[in-house]
Amino acid sequence: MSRRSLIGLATIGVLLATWYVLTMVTGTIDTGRFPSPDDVWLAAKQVVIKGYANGRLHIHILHSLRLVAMGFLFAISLGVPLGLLMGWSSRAEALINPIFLLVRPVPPLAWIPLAILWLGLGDSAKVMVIFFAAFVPTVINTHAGVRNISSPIIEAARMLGTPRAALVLEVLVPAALPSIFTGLRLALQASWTTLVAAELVGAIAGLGRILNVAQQDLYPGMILVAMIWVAILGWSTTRLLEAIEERALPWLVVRR
Amino acid sequence: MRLDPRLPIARSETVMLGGVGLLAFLGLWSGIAASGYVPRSFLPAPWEMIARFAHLLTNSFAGFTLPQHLASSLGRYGMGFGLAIAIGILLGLMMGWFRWLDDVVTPIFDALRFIAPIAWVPFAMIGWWASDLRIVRHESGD
Repeated sequence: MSRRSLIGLATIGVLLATWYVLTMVTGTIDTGRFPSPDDVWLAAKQVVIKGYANGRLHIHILHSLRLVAMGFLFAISLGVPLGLLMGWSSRAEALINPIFLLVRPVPPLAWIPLAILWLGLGDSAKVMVIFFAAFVPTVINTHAGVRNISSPIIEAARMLGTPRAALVLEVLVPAALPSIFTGLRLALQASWTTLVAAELVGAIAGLGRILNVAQQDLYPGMILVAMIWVAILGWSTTRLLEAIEERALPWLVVRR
Repeated sequence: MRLDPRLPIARSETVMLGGVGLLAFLGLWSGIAASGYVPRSFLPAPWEMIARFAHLLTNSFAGFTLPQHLASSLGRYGMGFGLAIAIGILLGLMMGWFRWLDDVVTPIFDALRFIAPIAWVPFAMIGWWASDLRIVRHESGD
């Protein structure tokens, strides 16, 4: 094991030990404000076995995952082609960019009231908000990816008489892919943030719903459990995306 | 309209096309709003929005006028952002200088990074810190 990971493990260990001592031994931290390890364990057991806030943990997780997947996939299936088009054609860029500039600076969470007004408190409003959160970084980075392809590559392909479809599929998309994936990673992160916020406002199930109910019940242990699960899901979906990226870009061995 | 690969176009054409795009967007919006197909309370027309904006500049909504709301938001934004960059730059500089600090702090960050900042809100709300400091706390998170 490397020096780095040893120090890392030691740090996390010391932090956990400090947490245990401050909450359960000395009582310096008020457990009504921040839970002790014991509280978190009990809350985790409760939500997994008995359920909390209308359902057991796996129901909440599946619900949140589904919303993120829908919003994210919807956003990238529109955002990537739009970004490609805008990067490829200066005319399309000139036409679309001003409208996009109107939408872009609006923070995704600011769509929540309008989404609820239009679509109600159901899932479609949340998908809409996640869509906006994921759409903007996807378009920006796809656009930049095409814009930043060095001209000689495209000129060479054209000089060799590459058919248009092949030019797009074999030159344009592969060359823009690293940037596209950067956009997708940002979009995924934004999707999770937005999901939690949208579910905090009102939801039947989901991790945000657990957070919301736990806040009203003044139940810090459950809040921490939900936060940990948000982090686990965010981390694992990001890992999944990185695995796809490594498969899609075998010629790029990027270690981040 | 031919879609030539990244061929630059004249500045005048950029402006013209941009204007067409914006007008089409505003036209569509106004058209839908004016048609009555969607209730006005769901989708106000652009001119209604501008009128409302002008109205809110001097008349209060939810207790304050728009500039007062903006000032209050900007103040919170400034506090959270200022605190975050003050601590963040200092910490980043020190992490770059002392390798042991980097080794110690990075694992903590890796653990915290994936918690969406919004998920801190419930903790902030159950009274971790007083008043505006709660909001500052969550804005400076990761």
